[in-house]
Amino acid sequence: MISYIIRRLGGSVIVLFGIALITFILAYAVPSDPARMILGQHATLQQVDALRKQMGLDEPFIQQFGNYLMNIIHGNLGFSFLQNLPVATLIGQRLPATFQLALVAWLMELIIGLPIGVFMALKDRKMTDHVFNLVSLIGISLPTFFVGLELMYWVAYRANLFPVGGTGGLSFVILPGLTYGITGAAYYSRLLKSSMVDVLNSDYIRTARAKGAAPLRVIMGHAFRNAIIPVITYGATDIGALFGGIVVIEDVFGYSGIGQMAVQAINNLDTPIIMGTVLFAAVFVVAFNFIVDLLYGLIDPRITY
Amino acid sequence: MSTILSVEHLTTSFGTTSGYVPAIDDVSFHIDKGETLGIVGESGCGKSVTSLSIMKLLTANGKIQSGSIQFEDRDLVKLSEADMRKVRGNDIAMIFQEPMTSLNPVHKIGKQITESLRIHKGMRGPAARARAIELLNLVGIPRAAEIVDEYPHRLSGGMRQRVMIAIAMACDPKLLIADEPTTALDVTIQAQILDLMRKLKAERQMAMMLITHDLGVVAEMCDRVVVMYAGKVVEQGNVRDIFRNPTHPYTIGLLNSIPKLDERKTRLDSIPGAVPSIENMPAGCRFAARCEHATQRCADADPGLRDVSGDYQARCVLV
Repeated sequence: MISYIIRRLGGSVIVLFGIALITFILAYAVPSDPARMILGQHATLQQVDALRKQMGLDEPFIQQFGNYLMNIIHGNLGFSFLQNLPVATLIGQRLPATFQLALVAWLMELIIGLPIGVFMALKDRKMTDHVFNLVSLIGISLPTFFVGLELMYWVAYRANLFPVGGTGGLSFVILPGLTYGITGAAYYSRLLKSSMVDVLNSDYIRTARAKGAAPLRVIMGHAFRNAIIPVITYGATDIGALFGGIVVIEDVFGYSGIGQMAVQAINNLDTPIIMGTVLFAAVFVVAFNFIVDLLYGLIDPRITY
Repeated sequence: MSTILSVEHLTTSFGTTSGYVPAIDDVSFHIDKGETLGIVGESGCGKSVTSLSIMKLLTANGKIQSGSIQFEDRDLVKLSEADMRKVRGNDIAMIFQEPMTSLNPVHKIGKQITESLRIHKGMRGPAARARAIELLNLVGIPRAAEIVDEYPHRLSGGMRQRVMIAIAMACDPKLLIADEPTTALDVTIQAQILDLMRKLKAERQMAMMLITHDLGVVAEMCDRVVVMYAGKVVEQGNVRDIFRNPTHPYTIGLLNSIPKLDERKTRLDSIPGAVPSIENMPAGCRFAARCEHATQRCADADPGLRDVSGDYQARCVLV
């Protein structure tokens, strides 16, 4: 177990190093001059050159990347060009809002997706199957910005149940979360359904029924825990998609989280923020996958590390 | 002796693309209290469908179409699903062929044994746990107090089948249905499991329905035997009568296909051909196509079960 954790941590460091390298190469290759961005259109060439020197932008690539890595290790993600504040501070300020949204969005996916998956597994007939496949295909195909705008119009504007947009308490999180839940739930329900159908046909389910167990007990006590294993695997990879989705959703709902900040930074070519948010997202995904790998052992006793 | 289970004219069908097709057709037999009944036949002859019909655990496309299953004073065919659940695992318990996959991999052994105690007897906590350990001891599992907290994947096939037997014994069933309980096990383990089942049956005066394709197991374990072929009972009677004096050509073929220790042979005997598919059952005797004694009248009409003597019947024109 300990050696597994150490190995996994080592692997995670390598992954994060690769991501840092790629984002750095991309930022390096972008044809924009940070010194010019900071000083504005009216600064003289001398002023710009002086700032380039001060920022170390005239140094060779390897030297610059080395500096960048050292800074990251010390928790310094650089300064925003436009706001002149540390990127780490900016991310830290918006982290709770984004975290709250991510959690609600993920829970919405599960709350919508898992019961439908179980229900469909029990009604595994041709007709219901076709309807379910169609509906879930629509769910998967709908773009989040479209669902978001529809919900915003009908639920927030017309029915006035939730705020139309902005950031605040839980009521501001529900609609964006629901937007993600509706589009993402279909994956979970499809996966759980097929996994559940397999499990329900297994010998140990027959054993449970032969003991006189009632359907609810068979499904929740025996089948669900076995069927959920592939769903958890998907859930781990979904966290990456969740982050991508949240960037769009935060923008649509004017929700001031990390995603919105990233979109603004891209529009303004505020490179340190872009690099910082990408790296942060990577850390988040890597950490989550790590946690899920440890979770397997708790759910399935056959898995040892 | 009084009868505990009486199956009368049971027909169970499965939905296929060409409508409902009977997998077992007009099957009748009975089991007396404390008796062991063997059900033998090749794969696909309807042995397992018979047992799953009694438990009403058929898959969604299977359905009992006619007949009755009288257990004590109730007709199981007419029982509601809720009432049937009170019978399963309580009055009638069942063990299956595949011990490796019949236990839930994510639950501890103890939890799986106590489940039917929780369902039927409302037993919980330390009392249930103590009973689980007692049951593990009963089925001859060493270190029962430790095994109760183990997961199934830590146990061998033979041990898992013992656990399955412990689960079946939990509520002291009146009837145990064992569907090929030793088929998946090594020969030495088979003998141990059969010994255990025989011992438990004797101690508890439990009736047993033993499904097998192994006539050796039948000779060893059973009082009476029902031979099934292609969904029908072709011969039934006392084990001694049938082994000494088999009547139906199919039973004779089955007995001949057992290799004997005192014979030198280069090829083992077998019955030529295969069981007809349930969608294409012949109108007459279902064994006719594979039978060396078959005549035109065998193909024309099913001969029906005929009395050979007393409690001994065979479905053959030769009787």
